[in-house]
Amino acid sequence: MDRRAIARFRRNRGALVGLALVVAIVLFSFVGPLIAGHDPYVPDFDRGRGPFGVPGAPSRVHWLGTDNIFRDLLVRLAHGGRLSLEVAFVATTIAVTLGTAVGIASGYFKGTRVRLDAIGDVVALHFGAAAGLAITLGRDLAGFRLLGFAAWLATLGAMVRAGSVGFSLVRRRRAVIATDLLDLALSLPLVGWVAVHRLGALREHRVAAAVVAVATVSGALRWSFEKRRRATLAAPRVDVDDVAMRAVDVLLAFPFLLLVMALAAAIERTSEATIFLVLGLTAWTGTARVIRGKTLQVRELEFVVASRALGQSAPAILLRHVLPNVIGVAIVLATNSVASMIVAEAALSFLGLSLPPPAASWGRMLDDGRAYYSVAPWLLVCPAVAILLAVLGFNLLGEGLRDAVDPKDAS
Amino acid sequence: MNALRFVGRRLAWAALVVFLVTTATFVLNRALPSDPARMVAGAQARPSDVAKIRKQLGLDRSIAEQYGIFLQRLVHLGPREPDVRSTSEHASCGHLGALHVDLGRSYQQRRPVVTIIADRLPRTVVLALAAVTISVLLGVGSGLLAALRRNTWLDTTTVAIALLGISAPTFVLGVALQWLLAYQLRWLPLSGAGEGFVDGLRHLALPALTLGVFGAAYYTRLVRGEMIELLEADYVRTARAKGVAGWRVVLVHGLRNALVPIVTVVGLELGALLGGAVITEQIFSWPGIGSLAVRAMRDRDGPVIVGTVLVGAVAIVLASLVVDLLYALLDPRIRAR
Repeated sequence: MDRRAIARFRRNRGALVGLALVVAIVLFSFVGPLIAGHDPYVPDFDRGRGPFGVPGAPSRVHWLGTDNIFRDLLVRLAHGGRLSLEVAFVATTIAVTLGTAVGIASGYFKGTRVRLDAIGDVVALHFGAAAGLAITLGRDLAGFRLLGFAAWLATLGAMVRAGSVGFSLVRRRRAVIATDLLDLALSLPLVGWVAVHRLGALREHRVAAAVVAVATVSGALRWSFEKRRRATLAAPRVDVDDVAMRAVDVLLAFPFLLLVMALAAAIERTSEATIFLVLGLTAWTGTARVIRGKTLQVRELEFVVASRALGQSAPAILLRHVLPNVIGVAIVLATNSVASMIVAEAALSFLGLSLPPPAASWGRMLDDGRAYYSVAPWLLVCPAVAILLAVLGFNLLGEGLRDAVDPKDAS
Repeated sequence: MNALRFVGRRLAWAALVVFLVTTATFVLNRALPSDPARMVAGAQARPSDVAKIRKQLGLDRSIAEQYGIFLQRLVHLGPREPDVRSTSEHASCGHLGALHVDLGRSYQQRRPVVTIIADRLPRTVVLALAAVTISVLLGVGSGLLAALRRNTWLDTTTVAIALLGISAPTFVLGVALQWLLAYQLRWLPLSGAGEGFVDGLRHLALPALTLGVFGAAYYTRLVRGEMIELLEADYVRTARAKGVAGWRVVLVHGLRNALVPIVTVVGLELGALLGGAVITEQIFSWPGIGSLAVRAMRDRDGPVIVGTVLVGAVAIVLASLVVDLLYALLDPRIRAR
């Protein structure tokens, strides 16, 4: 952001209110628990109990009263806020990073046609690597059945590659046949192995490890061969941008909350890490679309065309020219995404699919409070107001940032 | 000719997306950490019975085989007569003439998933239509008003309320409305669906209002932004200069041109809602697809999860298909291309 953008931001009253709200919520959630005198998990039967055993009303000891089992509501709100913000920040980081990467690549390379089997390689490597990562992340993700999903997709990638290799054999470009035969020799057994075996009965991590190994070896071999032979590429080709955007289309066809819920249900032991991953890995599509649109504009700018003409490499152009020009949009998207991630986490915990009790989270507190409409309305009001203020704060901030970065839209 | 090709390509793409989503939901179902055979047999069942049921459900076959059977059963041809439902082969099918759809049986409810969904779909459709109607009427109205009275107190208030509206997720707004209108004022029933027309309407009011107000806030911002831009366009000034009536300028020269973005959002929202408004249905115990999905997720009831996700995905794909086709109707420039 340049100086004018900062000045615009500072003149915008709504944006400043948003910033103040965000700072207040962050302070409350992260500093609050440090200076509070209560334990969020321990009931206070002496001073926190109302008449006839109802939750205690707000008092000098418990400023916002106590919840259904007499734990201090204020402290639990702060802990809930910490969970909410942590989930929102990490999930947003995952989603926006992934979305920006896909968006930039898709936009910048629109019109570049790559071999279909290269896409297969990417799918195989990407999901194989994801499976490997999930394995190495260890105990926390043990029972993370998504491994099976990743392995399955990796197999799909290997099949695409095998198929397109077969296609190039039909076309009889002699220069390619040698490398492709080798590739086929490596990837077909894998596909066959998985098809013959019962994937359901198979240990997922073995499939994943095998896919990673085969994809790496065959990819490296193919690369070295082709580099030496300058092979004519005969396999069918597809536009990078088409592939990425169609993938986004498919992901967007999933009902978001249902998908997140189904993923959350597929995980045996829900932890903060699994919530990050589930939310982050499903929410990147919107960012990818917007960033792609912006990149399509940026890549036609004169200085980008000039540096391409001067022979600067694609990674350098992407890093030095494209990224700085889309980062403003990405920051705005990220701010709005934090708001929607807070909502998503609260929705999950409202439905009982987030962290199990006794962990404090705003959605669950709201759901618990519904049973106390009449005797303890503060159980309902407090989490509701907390969610409302947090979301409002990030929305206002995002809007202010957008007006500051892109004054065209400001009205 | 060109139009036909466009429609054809769009349909083929929609079919492909539905197929991919179907595949993914099948995989997701397989990934659920529960043993369906054990769930059907019950916790006390002997291992031999569990094994028998596993075989009955086809869970002892390879995953590729299971996937093949799943796809084959999903849409297939069968006898037209309804009384064949008693025969075991088509016991869990729903059918439209000779076209059968089979999503298997629920592990928990022991009924065909197609029947369960068919029971609940009308409620979800009613709720979605009511909610979208409320949000369009309220949102377009207040958006127009704010744009026409720009920079007055009316505009400022509308914008502030709309911002508050989009910041209040349905579970905050819904719970608040439930507390105020049903618990405190006792104007409307707390939850459920009600019986008969009038009672049904009274029960519909709260969930529809919750979804409708949230959508209205969004439309207000959209319509206001679009209209402010459009009313400053040259052709609007020309129209005014030529003495076109004020309302005609606003509606024909202004709103007519804002229709494309509005229709896009309405269509996509309707698509999302037809797949079940998960949270709202849950809050008001509305017996639609959304609350069915929540229950299925909690019970890890695989076939029902697959069914609900599939219904949601088909609704979204159909909605975006219809929106794409409407573009051509609404905007001659798109038709020309």
